[in-house]
Amino acid sequence: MIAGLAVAFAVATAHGELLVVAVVPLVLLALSPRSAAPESLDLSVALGSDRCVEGDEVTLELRVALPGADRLEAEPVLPPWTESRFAGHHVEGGTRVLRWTLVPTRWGRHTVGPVRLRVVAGGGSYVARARVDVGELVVYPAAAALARAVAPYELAAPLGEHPSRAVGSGVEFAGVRAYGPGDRQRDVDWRTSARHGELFVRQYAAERAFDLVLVLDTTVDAGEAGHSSLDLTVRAATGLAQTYLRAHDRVGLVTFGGPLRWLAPAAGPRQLFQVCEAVLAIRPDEGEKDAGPVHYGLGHLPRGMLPHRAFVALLTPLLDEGPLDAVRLMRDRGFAPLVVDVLNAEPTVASGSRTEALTLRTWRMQREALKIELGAMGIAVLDWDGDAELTGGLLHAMRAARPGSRSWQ
Amino acid sequence: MAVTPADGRAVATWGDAAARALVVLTATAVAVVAAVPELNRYVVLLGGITVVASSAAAVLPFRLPGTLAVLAATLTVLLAGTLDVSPLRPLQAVADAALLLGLVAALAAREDVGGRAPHAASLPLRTLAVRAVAPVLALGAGAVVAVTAAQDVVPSVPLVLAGLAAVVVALVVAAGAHRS
Repeated sequence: MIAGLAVAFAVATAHGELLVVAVVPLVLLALSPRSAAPESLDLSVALGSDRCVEGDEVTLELRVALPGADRLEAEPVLPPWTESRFAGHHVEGGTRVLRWTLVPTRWGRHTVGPVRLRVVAGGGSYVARARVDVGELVVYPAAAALARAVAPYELAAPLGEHPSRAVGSGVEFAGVRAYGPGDRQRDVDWRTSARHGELFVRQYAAERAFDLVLVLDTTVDAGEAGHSSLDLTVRAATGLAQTYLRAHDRVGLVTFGGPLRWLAPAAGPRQLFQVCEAVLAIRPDEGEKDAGPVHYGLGHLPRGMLPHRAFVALLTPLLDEGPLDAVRLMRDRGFAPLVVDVLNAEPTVASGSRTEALTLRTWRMQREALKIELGAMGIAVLDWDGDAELTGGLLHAMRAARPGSRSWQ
Repeated sequence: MAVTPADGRAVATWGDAAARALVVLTATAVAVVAAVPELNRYVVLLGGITVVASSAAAVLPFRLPGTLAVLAATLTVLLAGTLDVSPLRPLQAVADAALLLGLVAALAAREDVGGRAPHAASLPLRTLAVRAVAPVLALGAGAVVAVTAAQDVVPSVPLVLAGLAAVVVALVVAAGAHRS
């Protein structure tokens, strides 16, 4: 455009110096022939890992070979709740290797990419754009902190690591009793025997396993993204599952509020992986959202999901009557669940608005009424804000609540 | 208390602000160099339009104001060269040609930087010296043309025909460069 206008003006007005304005862009174009521009480019893109935990660093690597280009611009399209920074580049045998460091801050299945590329050649005369798909990054929730796997005293399942009230062949000292026929000589407590003038033997606590069933209320996701009730729910569930599965206990999972899903109690590392996968399925994808609300109550839960004397922990934000109904249903089945309140936010109200202040007060009273009603049913409620260590509160609640058993009711 | 994902797009950065400022500065420089020393009202008017259009191009996320800015700047330079025949004019023409190149480059940079995410990477694959060869040669050629145009020559038919032939050759070469 510049050259054409300049030539036209120069010819029309007979001013030769105006050709200067035309000559500069024309020479630039002449020095940048299209044949010098790259006709193709070889590229590949890959994630350092396709699975990680919230807060982990994942590397995104782009390899591009484009001889003849002047400039390369690359911008990966990142999923929400992902921090990223360009980690630098280097050359490997004529191939440019660009690296980004991604830090996903929220659990879920995230689509990383595409990477948008813009290649400039010929001093800016030629520009090519390309998009390269990357793939899916599975981000597992960060497990809540638990110092150790605590358990109630009354345990039924044999062959575990938790000392119980029953006397057995564990390693934890449980007391002494008078020697009887059949007792082993190695169990004789010589000091007590010498004091009393007759033989006494040491007794040890039996070590039992623990069945934990986590019931997750996914009806509502309330609070700030990253610290919402659903985030706290899945982090607590993952932390509990991880801690108890390491102690060789059995862990099961039930989610309600959307589609009812369950995972039968089992032990082992494989179960932890299955719990994590089940937790990831809690957040509905677009297809499920479009399918409309699904209301399957816990009444559809198979009886085998809640084994004899299992300990049931209900993780819920306590925002409606759903948790109360769930507790009633489990009581009917003979279980007294521990309720973990995972809501750590309140609705924001405009300062000075009396109506909104009254609404907030009513909202608080409704939650308080729910807790009182649960207390009246003998259900322990543990408040968890997402940061505190869970072990202490859990131990206190477990020792207060009896494990469920139909025969106990 | 609805949960919504954070906006992952870029916000204004120093690089973005610098690219916007550069557009306005180069357009203003084109207008000023073209208008002085004789402030012709039409040249000043076109220069003003150039500055306004460049300001719009710096602010708005559209290409049209940038195109208008380049058009107005070119017309400013050409009109000034037509109306003002001072001895400094060839030198001004070379400077304006360089500034026009700068304006186009600034508009391209503003378009690239604006809207780019903070984690985007931009790598020069050739050194600055290599990339500067073509613009320096172009400006050198422009200076030669300016010096030649400033000479007092007796107009003749062969000279005019040679000039026209040179222009046609230049246009053909430039058009050929775009042909694949």
